[in-house]
This record gives sequence, structure tokens and C-alpha cells, in this order.
Amino acid sequence: MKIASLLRFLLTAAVVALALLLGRALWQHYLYSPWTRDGRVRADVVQVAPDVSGLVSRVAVRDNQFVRKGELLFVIDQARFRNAVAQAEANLAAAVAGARAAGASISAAAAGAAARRAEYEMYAAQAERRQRIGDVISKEARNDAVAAANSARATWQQAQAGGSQAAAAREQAAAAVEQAQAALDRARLDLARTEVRAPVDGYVTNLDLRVGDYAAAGAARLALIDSHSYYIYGYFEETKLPQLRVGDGVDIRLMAGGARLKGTITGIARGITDRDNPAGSDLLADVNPTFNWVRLAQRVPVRIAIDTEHLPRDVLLAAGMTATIEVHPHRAGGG
Amino acid sequence: MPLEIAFHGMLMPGLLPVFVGCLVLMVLLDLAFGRLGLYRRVWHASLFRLALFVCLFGAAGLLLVR
Amino acid sequence: MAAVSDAAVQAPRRPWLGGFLAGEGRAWIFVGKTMLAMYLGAWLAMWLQLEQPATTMITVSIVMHPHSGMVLAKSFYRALGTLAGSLVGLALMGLFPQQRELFLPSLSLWVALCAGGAMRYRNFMAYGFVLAGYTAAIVALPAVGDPYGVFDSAVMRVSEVLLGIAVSALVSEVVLPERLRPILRQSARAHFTGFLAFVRGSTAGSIPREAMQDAQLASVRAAVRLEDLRASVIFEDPEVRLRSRRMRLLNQRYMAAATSFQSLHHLINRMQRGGRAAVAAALIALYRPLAAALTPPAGQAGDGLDALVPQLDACARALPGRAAELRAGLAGDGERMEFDTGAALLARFVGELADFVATEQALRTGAAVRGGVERVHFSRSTDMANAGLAVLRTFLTMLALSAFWLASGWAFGASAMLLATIFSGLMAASPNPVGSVLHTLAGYALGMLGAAVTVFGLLPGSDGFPMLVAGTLPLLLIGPYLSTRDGLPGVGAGYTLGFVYILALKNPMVYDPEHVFNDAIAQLGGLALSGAAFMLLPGLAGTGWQRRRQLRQLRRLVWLAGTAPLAGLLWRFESRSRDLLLQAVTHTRPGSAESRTLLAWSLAVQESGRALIELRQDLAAGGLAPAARAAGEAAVQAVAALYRWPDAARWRAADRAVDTAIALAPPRPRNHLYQLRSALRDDESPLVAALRAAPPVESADAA
Repeated sequence: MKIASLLRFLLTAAVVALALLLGRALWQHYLYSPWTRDGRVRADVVQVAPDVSGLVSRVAVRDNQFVRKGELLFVIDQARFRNAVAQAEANLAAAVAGARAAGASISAAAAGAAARRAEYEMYAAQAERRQRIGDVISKEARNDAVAAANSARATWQQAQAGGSQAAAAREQAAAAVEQAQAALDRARLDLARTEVRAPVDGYVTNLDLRVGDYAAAGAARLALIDSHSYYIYGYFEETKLPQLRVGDGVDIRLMAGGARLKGTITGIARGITDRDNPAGSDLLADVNPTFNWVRLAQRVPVRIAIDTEHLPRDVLLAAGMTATIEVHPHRAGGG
Repeated sequence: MPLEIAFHGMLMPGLLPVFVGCLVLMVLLDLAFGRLGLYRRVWHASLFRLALFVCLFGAAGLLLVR
Repeated sequence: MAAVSDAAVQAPRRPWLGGFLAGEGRAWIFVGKTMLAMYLGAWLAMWLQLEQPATTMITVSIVMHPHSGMVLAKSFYRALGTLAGSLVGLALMGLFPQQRELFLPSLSLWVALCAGGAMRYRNFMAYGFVLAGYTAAIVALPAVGDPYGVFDSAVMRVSEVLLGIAVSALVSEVVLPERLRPILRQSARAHFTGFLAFVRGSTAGSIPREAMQDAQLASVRAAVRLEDLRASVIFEDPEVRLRSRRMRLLNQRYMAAATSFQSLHHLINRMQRGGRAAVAAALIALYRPLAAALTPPAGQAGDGLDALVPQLDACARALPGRAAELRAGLAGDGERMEFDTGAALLARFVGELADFVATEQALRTGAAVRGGVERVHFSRSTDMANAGLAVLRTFLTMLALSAFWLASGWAFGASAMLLATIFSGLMAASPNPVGSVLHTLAGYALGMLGAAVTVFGLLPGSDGFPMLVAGTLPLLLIGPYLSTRDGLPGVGAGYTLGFVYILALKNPMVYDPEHVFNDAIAQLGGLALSGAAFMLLPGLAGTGWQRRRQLRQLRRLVWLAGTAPLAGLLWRFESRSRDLLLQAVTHTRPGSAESRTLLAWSLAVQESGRALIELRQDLAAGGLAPAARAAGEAAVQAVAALYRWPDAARWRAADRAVDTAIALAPPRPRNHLYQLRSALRDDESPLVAALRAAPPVESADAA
């Protein structure tokens, strides 16, 4: 009887012990193995804005269309910018003509200076000759000759300065030509920028732009999702973080159709907002006076790169999709 | 079986169908053991039943949900 | 622990102390289990980030019960009710999202119907109905201002309630389980041996009518109690579930044997009073060997059940021979015919007794049941008027509350309506609803006080789950402890509910005194209003009107026996008559004139109804001359009509019809017709007394 009851107890105890082991293993597997149901597909989004303002005259893409880098997205009305180019061209021509006129006045000044010099040399020679003769002629005549020579020299010097002035005027005219050229270049650039082109390969998304809309320079008018930039954010409970390393391989299962992707951890966020401590209105901490009875694990975002080489053909990735993420620690040589 | 199952747009934990299956299996086992009178041969019948269920569920969960 | 074991050693010297400690021990085990389930539920709810861990705690406090079978049974129906209620709550919100004037009355109607259902099904299914109403209210009411949130709210509430159910079932099943099965087995055995002993003791001769009535009451009580126990034990034990059908069969066979036994003794009594002492003596002589057959051989272990079955079979086989011997000793055709009737009844009784004993043996040993397992059901008889009254009362209560809510723009009207919903359902089935509500109200107020002290005195300084337990435990455990005291029904449950409601545990905790006191006032108001409704529209239980109705229903069972399709009729008749009698007798004082009348009627109904069923089976078996058949059917109709509308004219018609049928019938149906006639002419029967007292009034009343 005693042995029988011991057996009864042992049978129960054995099954209970087994149950404890199995239950614990399942608990560990389910709660602490590094996986999360809280994963999101994300992508870089370029917010395309026109560089110049104006009416939209043509939209060259459809919503959700794939575009290559440099393809035309939309065009802003070009008439005003063509006018600006024409005006800049005219300004340039005027400046070039002015430069030429300045060149001509330099030659005139040089010729004038040569004439004054000849005059001066004539007067100077005359005065010297009269001095050498001495008292043959009156002292007054001699002095007059010297003064005439001096005066001729000053005139010559004046003509020389006029030549310098003409050279400066020509430099000014040349600078005006360059200015006009720059204005023309800018007008041409503006004209070119009326055609807005795709900055990256990607998908036009949520296109809300019609011909006739007014597009202001710098205001984003359409979103372009960079097709090479898809990645995944997995929000892992903090209890699972110690098992994650940058470079760990990751299995990704999309909620849509259960498609399986491969990936690698590329980074772990080093900070999340402390929800118990938002800043108050006067910049002081606003701490919640009560604390949780049961502490719950916070979730920390982990960035995962999708292995595009093994991307199945038929999988459609869209930013915002839900994914389940399971990490294989240390497989990819991390940690 | 995957960790998560998509069902009409809802993600369910993969353990849920395993749990339900184990419940059904447990009812069948209960009937069989009751017929064989096994529960009279153990010390704490309800603890034994609970442990048996945990064994079933644990084993099935570990084996099936990967 | 040490104190308990010391006391146990000393127990023989001071027996009252031992008894006291044993009782206290059970109570504290229950308190401990309740606390464990409550905190485990709260912790899991917080860990799973459910919105209101308080709902889980409330569920645990309602579901926990000292016996684990009870908890599982409650939980099963409760889960069903919760799911149904949340669906209805969602549907109501979907139908009337912006119309409070339509939404609140339809919610009131649903809650009222659920309260009626709880009243109609007095078993564990009642809980399902209470919960169906409660969940619909708890899902829909807080979402009135925010219809978009109703789905999330429903999912949260259902998860919280189901978590509470699962946790309490788990805890009460695994931690020190206290089972109903031993109680069931014990009472089934006691009942079995008691019945056999009674039969054995009665073989000496006649039994006075008084003793017969007491035996009837005891046996009816036992039959219904066994059925109640069986219905909850099947949730507790897989083995019992396997045998559930057999146990039902056992109960039915027992009821059949008991009715035959009573009919036999009535017949013998009537013969002795009617100057047929020689026939009565011959029958008693025929009956006597049964005592020996029911006595287990000496030296047998236990109650010698194994030996009884062959003994009874042998006795049944020997019966026809002995009957022929004794019949030869009688003079005159009339006496012989009466003897035949008695002998046939006796043969039926012995056969049924043998079946009953064989079923009990099969149940104990697990062998196959003799005669195959028939699908039988314990059919219950319920009074729709009472359920209807509960529906009306609850509907009016809820309507009044919602009108007040709408008219006053009271911010906490939802709390009051919730409480009224819970208690009109829970209290409807209580035998003394006004008293229960008052007790519960007192307990509720105390519980809220305790919770207020806990929330504003003890909890604000505490941090983390262990401190939460330490802070709430001392005042919370008063509730479950009070509910183990039989002297204070409802106080414990009220205390626990009030405490948990006002505690309104959340993660993290929210302290808002204004909200707490407004909520407290609203809840007390709702509770008080449902109490007031019970005072204004008291239940029918125990009123003279209901007793007359139940008596009429009892008599109508004979009409049922005479007219309903025969398949399964016997079991329906037997179980329903007992259920009805027990309901009616519960509200009368034992030994009073009312109780005697009811018992007398039930005996008469069982005898005549059973005879009618047997007679109809004979008629249906065929092989009768058309004239005899027609006369037999006419007699069945006449007797059934007499019990339905008893008056002198119908009595005469029935008597005539039975006489005519006797003249035409072959021996086998004739025995039953004889039995019917002797029951009709029984001067001790309440039927004859009623006809003598006031023949015309009853008929007008019944029509």
C-alpha cells in the first residue's frame, strides 16, 4: 500500500516536473527569444519641391509611377522665364557695345596725347634755341618761350591722364559685359529649373498636383519614395535587447501573404522618449507621481536592412507595412 | 507553423491554434484516461491533468511554432 | 501551522474547539484561494496591458466558490454569457449609436430578459444569463459617449472577464481543491441504502399516509438534489462526465420505482379500508419475500450489492407462481381481480427495483448497464409567471434609472445602471430578495469604505506589486471571509464587490477622490433602487397565488400524462412532478396544512399519472378489440380532464368511463383501470376532498 501511494505521488510529481520544464521552455521561447510582432517597413521619402515659383503647366507622371533619376516630373509655366532670358541676352549685347565704344575712346586719347607731346617738344626746342642765342632777343621773348614750353608740357601731361581715364572706362565696360553674361546664365538656369526632375530612382506617391496649380518655390508638392532605401524598424522589448547585435541576421515575415525576407541589423536606437517625464510648460520636468504596479518593458527601435538580393520577385514592399521579425543571434558574425 | 498567423487582416499569435488543438486533444485524452481509470492511480488528479495539459501544450508549442 | 497541529492533538479533549478549527480552516483556505486568484488575475491583467484589471478582480470575486465543481460550472456558463452579452452590447451600439432614447430602453429590455432567464433556469445556467446582461451593459454603457470605441471596449472587457474566469477556475482546481464528487457519491449511497431500508421495513404491512408523505418529501428532495449535484460535478471530474448519463438513468429508475412503491401501498391501504382485508393480506403475503431479497447475505463485505441483483431477479421470477397460489385462496371474481391488480403492480415494482439496483451496481463497478443505456433527461418544471415578473421588474428598474439619467444629465448614471443590472439578475433567484439586497447593500457600503481607506490611506505610499498586495490584502480578505459565514448571506459578496469596484485598480494607479465618491454614491443608488424594485414588485415565491398556480400545474401533469406523445413521457412526468413539488414545498412550513395538501396532491398525481401512462402504453401496444380500445381511450381522456378541471360532473364522467372500460378490457389494461378506479374512489385522496369542499369554484378558476 505504501509503495502504491508512493508510486501515485511519483507519477504525478514526474508529470508535474516535466510540465514545469516544458512550460518554462515554451515561456522562454515565446517571451525572451529575440522576435517581435511589432515591425514596420520604412523607406526614405524625398519631398520634391520646385526651385522656381509659377503655374504648373504640365504633370509628366502618374500617381504611383516608377521614375528613374533625372526623369521629368512636372513643368512650371516657362513663358516668363523665356522672357527673362531674352532680356538678359539684350542686356549682354548692350554691354558688349559699350565695351567697344570704350576701346575706341582709348585710341582717341592716345592720339591726342601724341599730338600734345609733339607740340611740347616743338615748344621745348624753341625755348632752348632762344636761350642759347642769349641776349639777341629780349628777355621777355625768352621767358615767353619757356612758359610756352611749360604750358605745352602740362597739356601733354593732361592728355596722358585722359588716356588713363579712357582705359578705366573700358575696364568698366568689360565688367558690365560679364555681369550681363551672368544674368543671362541665371535666367537660363531658371528656365531649365522649370522642368522638375526626379532626384532619385523611386515611386511617385500620393500625387496631388494638377496642371494650373500654383507651385511656390521651396514648397514640397509630391513625395518620391526612394526605391533603394527600403528598410525595417523592429520595435523590440528592452528585455530582448541584450541578445541583439549589429550585423545579426534577421528573418522578416510580412503580414501580407506571409512573404519571407532576409535582413541584417544595421543599428539599434540609443534613445527613446521617457514617457513618464515630459517637459512641463515652464521647461521643468513633469514627473508622474504614481508608478506602475507591474513594470512593463519599453520598446526600442532596431533598424534592419533588407537583403535585396534575396528579395522574392513577387513581393511588393510598401512603407508602413507590418512585419514579424525574428533575429538569429550571432549567425552573421555580430557580437 | 509561424509565430504569427494572418487571419482576415488580423495577426494572431501562432500559439492560439496550437492551444485550441491541445484543448481538443486534452478532452479526448481526458475521456480515454477517465475510461481507463488512470486518474484514480495518481495522487492529485487535477494537478496531474493540468500538468498533462501543460506538457502537451509546451511540447506542441516548442515543436510546431518556430 | 504549529497552532493548528497543536489544536488537532488537543481536539478530543475539547471537541467544540476541533470543530471550530476545522470550519475556520476551510474558511481560510477559501479566503487564501480567492486572494491568490484575485492577485494572480490582477497581475496578469496588468502584464497583458488590459485596460481595467479591476474587471478581472470583480469576475474572480463573483466566480470563486468553495467547491471547485461549482466554480467550473459557473465559469463555463459565465464564459458563454459573457460572449453573448458582448455581442449584444456591440449590436445595440451599432443599431442606436446616436439615439439614447432608443438605446437605453433596448438595453434595459435585454438586461430584463436576461434577469428573466436567470429566474427561469435556476441552475448554473442562471449565471450565464446574469453575465449576458452584465457584459452587454459593461460593454455598451461606458461607450455611450464614444461609439467608435465600443469595439475596443468590448474586446478589452471580454478579455478581462475571460481572464478572471480562467484564473479562478485554475486556482480552485489546482490549489487544495475541495470537491463535490465525494459529496455526490456519499449522498447517492445514503439515498440508495435509505430507500432500500425503507422498502425492507415496509414489507411487514401497511404504512400510514403521514409516513408515506414524509418519505415522498425526502425522496423528492433527494432526487432533485442528486440531479443538481450531478449537473455541477460533471464539470469537475472527467470520470463523472463519462457516467453522467448512467447517473441520470439511475435517478430516473429510482423515481419510477418510488412511484410504483407508493401506488402499491396506496392500493393496499385502500383495500384495508374498503373491507377487502383478505385481498390486502394476500398481497402483503406476496410482498413479504422482498424483504429477504433486499437483505444482503451475512458476511458480505460492504452493503452486499453484488448479491442483491441475483436475489431480486430470483424474487421476480418466483412472483407469478406465488401469486397463483395466493389467488387460489381468494373467493369471488371481484376479489381475484383486485388481487391481480395488486400483483401486477407489485411485479412492476420488483422489476423496477431490480433495474434500479442493477444500475447502481453497474455504476459502482463500471460494468455495462442492464437493458441498455437509454437517453433520459431530468425535465424541470418552471413557472413562467415568476420569470415574467422578474423581466417586468428589471425592465422598470432600468427604465427608471435611464430616464433619471437622461433627464438629469448625471455623469455617473452609467455606474448606477451597471450596479442595478448586476443585482437585479443576481438577486432575482434568491429566496428572500429584499433581505438579500439589504444585506448586500450593507456589505457593499462597508466594502466601499474599506476600499476608500485603502486607496487614500494605504496605497499612495506604496510602490510595486508586492506593496500593492500588502496594502490591499488586510481589508480585502474580510469579504471572502464574510461570505463563508452562513449567518450573513450576501454581506461577503457585497463587501468584496464594493471593495473591488471602488478600488478600481489600474496600472498605473489613478487617484481621484471626487470620482471615487461620485461613483460610490451612484453605485449605492443603483443598488438601492434595485432593492426598492424588489419591495414594490415582490417575487411570487411563497405567495398563496403562486401556490395555487403550482398546484394547478401539478394537476395538469396528469393531463400531460394522458395526452402528450408517449416517447420519453414517463421520465418527463416523473422528474417534472418532483421538481414542481419541491419548488412548491420549499416555500411552505414543514408539517403545515399547506405542505400536507401539496404532498397529498403530488402522491395522487403521481399514482394516477403513472397509471395513465402504463394504460396508454398497453393501448398503444395493440391487440385490442376496437370497442375496448375506444373505451380505454375515453377513460384516459376523462381522467386527464378531471385532474385538469376537477369538478363533480367530471368526476362522475371519469368514474363512468373507467367502469365501461373495465367491462370491455382484457386483463392487462384492466389492472391499470382498476388501479385508476380505486384511486378515483379513494376517500383519503385530496381529489375527493376538493370535490366535496367546493366543486364549482375550482372549475371556474381553472377555465
